[in-house]
Amino acid sequence: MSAVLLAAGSALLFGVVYQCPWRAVLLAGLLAALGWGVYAALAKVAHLMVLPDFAGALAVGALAEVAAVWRRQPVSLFVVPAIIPFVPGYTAYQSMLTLIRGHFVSGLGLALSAVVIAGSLAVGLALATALVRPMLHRRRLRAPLRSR
Amino acid sequence: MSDQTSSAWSNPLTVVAEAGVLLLTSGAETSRVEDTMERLAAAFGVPAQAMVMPTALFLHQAGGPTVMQRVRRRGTNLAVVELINAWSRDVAAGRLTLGEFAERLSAVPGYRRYPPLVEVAAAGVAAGLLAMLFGAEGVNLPFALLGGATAQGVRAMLRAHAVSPGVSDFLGAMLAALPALLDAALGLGHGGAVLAGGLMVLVPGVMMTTGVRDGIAGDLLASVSRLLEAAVVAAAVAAGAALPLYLYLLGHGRWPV
Repeated sequence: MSAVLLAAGSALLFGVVYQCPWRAVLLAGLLAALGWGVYAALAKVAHLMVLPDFAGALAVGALAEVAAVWRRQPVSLFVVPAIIPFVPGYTAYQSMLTLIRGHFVSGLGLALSAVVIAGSLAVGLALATALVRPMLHRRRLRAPLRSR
Repeated sequence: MSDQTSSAWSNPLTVVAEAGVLLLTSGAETSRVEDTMERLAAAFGVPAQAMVMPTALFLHQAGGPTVMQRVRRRGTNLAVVELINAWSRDVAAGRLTLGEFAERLSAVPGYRRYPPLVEVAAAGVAAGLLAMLFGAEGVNLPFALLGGATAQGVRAMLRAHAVSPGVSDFLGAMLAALPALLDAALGLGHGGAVLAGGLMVLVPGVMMTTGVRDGIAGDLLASVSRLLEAAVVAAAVAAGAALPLYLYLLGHGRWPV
């Protein structure tokens, strides 16, 4: 629970660092909380390495697409801050520390796992865009005159 | 700038290209820049084709002139992306004329929604929260705060003085590592989480996500170069933090994981 709040808070603040408007900042925080909930739930159930990250990124990406259509604002405003807590910063740090200490094999292993996690985040975001955008777009084509 | 705007009034394509440059330098995806420029050009009565790369953009009006703009410096300012997105909607709906649009654009460079101090404070608190997410405790919080604020402050200051991204990220990471080393030297523990939290501020988040989104959209050239840029920044951050950590380990030898 506290992890969810920490993820949401850090996403919110990164929204400020990236100069997003405050409504978008709040939404990004919410997305990060929901995404982290998915991540934490899966991490508890399945002790797999990549799947929780992938699912969390998928949730964040899909919800960001919905938020972008709803708010009529660029997706970047929501997806960029919300994905930050998922970035494997601690694993990357561990890899760096291990390499500095001269343990090259385990250092490379950690580096590779950071790269794989980052890759699964990328695939999750990509899949979310590829799946959700056509669905939302089709609905918008059916009712094209709903301009604000 | 004002001089550029007055000449821009005579040619809509120049205004459109200027909007494209502002989008591109603020962190918008390639397809968004191309799409916005083509829509704007059509709305101004000069249908044109756009071709955008991370380092340059082209705008060609069929049977007419071609505008090319070189882009050398890119940053992150999603407020600008949001503003130009909203304005181009207004232009398409006929609520904004070319002159008004050009005038608004000329006020955009240097625009920020939050002042630099707020940005630094937000980066500091964000680093603190991420450090706690990585397992740090309340005692370590001030050090992570200081690390994150240092990272953001140093990088912003160096970028403002036109220091290249790789160098500014390297130096930012180097100084951001110092509070974590102090934390470790005082024996408070969780030095790693503090260090990693501070460095997260320097993570090239916009480059990574934009690179991925460019890839899905089929903008392969932009995708590859953005992901490469993100990798270079990440490497610079790692190298910058590794240097003081290495010296510390040489001197003390004890480091709380």
